[in-house]
Amino acid sequence: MIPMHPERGATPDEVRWVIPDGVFQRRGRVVDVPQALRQLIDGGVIASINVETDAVVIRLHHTEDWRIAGPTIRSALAAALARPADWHFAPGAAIRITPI
Amino acid sequence: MHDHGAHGGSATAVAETAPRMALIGSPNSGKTTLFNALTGLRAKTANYPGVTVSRSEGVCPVDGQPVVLEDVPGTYSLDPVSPDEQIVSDLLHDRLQGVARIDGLISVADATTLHRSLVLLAHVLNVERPTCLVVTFLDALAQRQGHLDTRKLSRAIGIPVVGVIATRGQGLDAVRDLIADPSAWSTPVVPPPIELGEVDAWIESVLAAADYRPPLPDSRTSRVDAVLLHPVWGTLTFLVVMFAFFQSIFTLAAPLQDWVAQFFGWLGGLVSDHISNRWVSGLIGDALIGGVGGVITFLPQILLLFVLISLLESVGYMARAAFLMDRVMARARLDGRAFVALLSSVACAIPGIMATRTLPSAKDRLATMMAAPLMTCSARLPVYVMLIGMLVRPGQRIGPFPAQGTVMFLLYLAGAISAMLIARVWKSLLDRRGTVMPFYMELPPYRMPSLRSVALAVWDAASAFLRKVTRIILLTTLVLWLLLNLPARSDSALTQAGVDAKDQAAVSAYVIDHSPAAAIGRAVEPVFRPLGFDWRINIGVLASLSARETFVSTLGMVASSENPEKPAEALEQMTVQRGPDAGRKLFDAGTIAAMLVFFIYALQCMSTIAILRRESGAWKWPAMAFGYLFALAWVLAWLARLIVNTVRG
Repeated sequence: MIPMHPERGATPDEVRWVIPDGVFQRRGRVVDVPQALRQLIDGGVIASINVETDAVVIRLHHTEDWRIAGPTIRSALAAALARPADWHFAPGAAIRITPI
Repeated sequence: MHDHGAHGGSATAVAETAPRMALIGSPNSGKTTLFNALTGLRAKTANYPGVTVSRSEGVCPVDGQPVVLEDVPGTYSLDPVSPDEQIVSDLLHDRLQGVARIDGLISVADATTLHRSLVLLAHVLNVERPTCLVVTFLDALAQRQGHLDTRKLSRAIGIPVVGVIATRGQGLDAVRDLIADPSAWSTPVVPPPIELGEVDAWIESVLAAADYRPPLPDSRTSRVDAVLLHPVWGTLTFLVVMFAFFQSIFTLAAPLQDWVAQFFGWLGGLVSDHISNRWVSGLIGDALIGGVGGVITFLPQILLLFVLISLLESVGYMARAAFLMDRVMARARLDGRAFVALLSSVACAIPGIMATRTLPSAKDRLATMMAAPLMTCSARLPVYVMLIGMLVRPGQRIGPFPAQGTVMFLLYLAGAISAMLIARVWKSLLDRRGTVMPFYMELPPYRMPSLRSVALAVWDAASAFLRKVTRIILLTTLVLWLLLNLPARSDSALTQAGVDAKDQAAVSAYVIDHSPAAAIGRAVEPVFRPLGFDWRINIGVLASLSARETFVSTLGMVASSENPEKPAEALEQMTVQRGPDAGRKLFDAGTIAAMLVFFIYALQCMSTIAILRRESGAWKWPAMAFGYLFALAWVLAWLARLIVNTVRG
């Protein structure tokens, strides 16, 4: 399981799920994710997902509460992080260049 | 001799509106050291309502306002497997009737074992109560090249985090500032997971975010453990440590005991010289000075016992002893937790029996409880010291070793071996399948003992001993003194009986010989005669049912009435007064051996019986314990006398 923990984001509806550096090769807005997480997007729980260097930033739909939805999102995120190849980024998302 | 009410009770005097905080952490996390540092040792020790799990409350003044701190039992998890852990879980979930709601939780974590501590924290944070984290032993972490950024840890977990070195007082002000207002504490945006895989991932991530570098293995501890945990060398070391201790009881404490005895002898002389009223003189001289004072003369031994126990605990050796004995306990089909309970009984059976609450299996608890009174508690110490003093001369040696200390060691060893054998028997009777629960126990690194904590433990033991002396022993001694001296006899009545009323020793001998106590002692003579006991010993044995030390005070009273300045000499010169053995030295080797063996096995402690009732939940268990231990004591004492008399011809 990929190590991760939640930290408060820039706004109350945002949480930064801190993950180890190097899980993803790209950064930016995510347009498609593995099924466990996609169900939460389709169900209107998650409003958006962005990948940063060391975190996945998830914004909740304004009707949702992190203390209630948080545990479900964590489990779904843990499952999705196991399949990084199934994450699809919006055009223009930054590609991570690993220094040689 | 357990301390149930130490250090006053400032917490109870505080208004009920004061914020209440609970300190929660695993055993050896430094929780109690932090509690003592914050409350200034002004704690009140009691039990949680309806159970015998101990509870410590204290007050920490913050900006002139009181904050009540509660030091709950150490626990590894909120999924309870033992009564101790059940209490912590119930307290946090407000399921304890009669206990005020906790306003905030102070989670205490050892920096050197942070990963494990965060498992407990994850559970605590799911209780959804204001929580802060206090990280202890940061000095030990730094010494072993570890690192932790508490500011980053706070951000990663989402709660306030303070690092402290409680023994030096570092970080305590920050804790005080924090606990002033738990409602202002930040909370995690999402509670941590508690499922096994997820919680590991959370801890790993949090520790990485806090730049945590675990400490290097403690090479000194590893080197010492290679010897102390070795099946052969470790066991040998254990035996040598114990043997050396029992030698020290006589070599170190005996001179101090002599001074105390001389002091009471001098007091006794003053009383007989200056108080002419026979009753007042007898009450003060025989009951208070000869009886109660006779027990107080053993204070140096009690202090020495607790100095050693406290030193071994603070250094970290007791945990190793439990680990070492786990193998032995497994033969009794019990686990190391049972040994911890038995080891606690060396100080007093009460905390030992209470320590069985850490045992997950009810059958294991009962088996251990039934055996715990066999461990040699400190109450036996005065009896043993007195009897060994009469049996073995100070200069005598067994091989290269002083004989008195060796006999004392053998008595303790006999108690411990008997306790294990009896535990095995009870376990077999109660649990035929013989299931052994998994046992894990943390071995803390070796630490220099804190002088303060050793002094505190010794002070607690001394004050508990003196409280016991001034309460139950004093009361029993006074009742016995009355029984030994009633009815009051006039000079004419004495003269009529052929006793010279001016001869104090003759009067005392006559009065005691015709007292209700003598009648009681003679009534039970058929029971104890095969052991060589006469009515005077019988009265001591019966009195010792309240507390074992009363045996010493009773014989002290009888001896003081014969020779107030040198009661020990009077005791040694006593002879059997009537019957086929009339004229035989009362305290001959066979009878002393029988008495020693009787005291190894007999359950002569009302407090232990009461605690057995409370812990087992039924009278049948203490009744059975009293019955089987009395039968065992009698049979083995009879055998001991037979063997000694046969050997001595």
